[in-house]
Amino acid sequence: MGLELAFFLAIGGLAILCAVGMLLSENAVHSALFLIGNFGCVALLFLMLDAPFISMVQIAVYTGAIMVLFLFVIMLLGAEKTTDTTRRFRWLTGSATTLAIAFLLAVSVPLVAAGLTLPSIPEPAPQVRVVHAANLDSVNVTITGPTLEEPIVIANLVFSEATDFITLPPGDYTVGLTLAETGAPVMPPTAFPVISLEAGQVSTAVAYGELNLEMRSFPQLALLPNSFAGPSDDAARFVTFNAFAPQQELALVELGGDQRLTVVERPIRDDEGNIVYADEAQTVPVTEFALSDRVIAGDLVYGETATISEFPEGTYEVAFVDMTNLTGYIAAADPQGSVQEAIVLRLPDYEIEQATEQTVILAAEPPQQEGIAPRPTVLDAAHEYLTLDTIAAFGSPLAIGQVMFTDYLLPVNMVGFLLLVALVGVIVLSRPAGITVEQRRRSVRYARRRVSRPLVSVISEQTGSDVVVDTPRLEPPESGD
Amino acid sequence: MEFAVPTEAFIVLSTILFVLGALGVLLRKNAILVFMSVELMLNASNLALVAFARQWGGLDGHLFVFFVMTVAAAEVAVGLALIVAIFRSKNSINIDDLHQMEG
Repeated sequence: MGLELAFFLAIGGLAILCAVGMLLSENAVHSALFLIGNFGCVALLFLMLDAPFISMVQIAVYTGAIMVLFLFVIMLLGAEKTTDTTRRFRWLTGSATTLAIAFLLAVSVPLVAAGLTLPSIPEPAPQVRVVHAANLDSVNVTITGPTLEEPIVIANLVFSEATDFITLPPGDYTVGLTLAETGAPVMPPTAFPVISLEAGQVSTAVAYGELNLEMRSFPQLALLPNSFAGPSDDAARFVTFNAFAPQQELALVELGGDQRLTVVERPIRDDEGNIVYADEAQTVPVTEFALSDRVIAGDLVYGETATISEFPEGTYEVAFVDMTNLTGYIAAADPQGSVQEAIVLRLPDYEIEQATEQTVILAAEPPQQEGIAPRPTVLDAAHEYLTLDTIAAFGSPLAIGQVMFTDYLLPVNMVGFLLLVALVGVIVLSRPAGITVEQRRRSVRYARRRVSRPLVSVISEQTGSDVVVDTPRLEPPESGD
Repeated sequence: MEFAVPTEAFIVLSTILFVLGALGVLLRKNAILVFMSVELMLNASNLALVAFARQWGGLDGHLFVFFVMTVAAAEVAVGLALIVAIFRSKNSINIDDLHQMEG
């Protein structure tokens, strides 16, 4: 028996015991306290059901407000001692208990014994989008697969453009790339890349590389993993890919103040922890240079799988840094100065939003003329369409808020209105039932004259109370004018 | 996907609590006790809703529970105000004594 099942049985049993105690207790205050215990057990059960928001609302609203209101009224009315002496119908207890047990058995026995298997939700179909990061002009992308009746053709995909997510059934698909202008395939048809998609997988297919017939190098396809699950608080998830061929190993870092590359100097230690010295005279320690911990994504090897990392939100100055010769760069530069040569591409004012997933791809722009060295560029530098808005965790307050104020906005407003009506109703119901004659007399005497004097005298005649109205009397008008 | 505690267990627990609440409504004579049993029944239905929300992976069950809790709060406020008003005039909250409307 698992720990969770044992916990459920303990808390469930305690809830039932509290409910029975509430029913059988003589004192109404004890019944209310038993019910508070029952609500606490139900709040723990809500936590077991992945509903943290509902469980906290249960404790705050049900036990904290509703039961306190019950206790107020019990104390106010002095109704602790319940008088159950008179019983109208003797057969009520037995028949009610019998019917209740019959209902319970009728519902639970078929549910448990018949082995009903509630169908569970299947994994969602895989989604994939295609990004053109290769050193070519616009291409046509053709996706063929055994599950597709006719191949999906994405026409005229411009460099640095990404398609929307395409939902496909799980399986293996062949992706073919042809130039949009000429229709010529970019790679040998036998070497078309095959991607396999599984259920629940969200990915980005990046076409990278360059077409060089002399060197027999063709563009290739890489599959980057994406996910709609949210990153940790106040952070964004980065899926970073290096598609810039000249730089074999890169890192995406946040530059320090004054656009400087913050490096960390570390002495190399041997296994026992002693610092290693270079020459036999043992005077100069061997140091290792590494970037500071403001690295957004490291280990970006060309063509290898993407690096997945998280970074807190904010607006930073970030840069792609060449890692292969970092020590050489630092040694060549002025120790006090910045290491400008190691920076491949600088992105000022890079905005990072929380609860998003950003796919960052560094690629070479297609050359406008022959003979010019390839220039690095980040696809979607304004990160509009390569940024995913992640979905909050199931049952969290953020997720409930997202659903409540979009799909359920009308019921929320109606419930608010209902609360307002209940508030007014409670105030009306709590007014004093009736005022005595003495009070009415006093109120009329001290009230400013809001009713005309003749009307006041008519009312006083009908209600039989004496009315003294001490207001100045007008002189009756002269007859004739 | 398989859960450690199956949804059927939560439904059976919810049914037991609901039946206990129904028994309280039928058998107790104190009006406030009857009210508390109604709250117990509402809680049992909330438990069933959240169990099914987990089963189906949708947050609609949680939203429904939220609305049920809000309506229950409004109902408790109005109902207790009614009981206080009745107590003022009749000086008793034994439901056997509150039979003015029988014909």
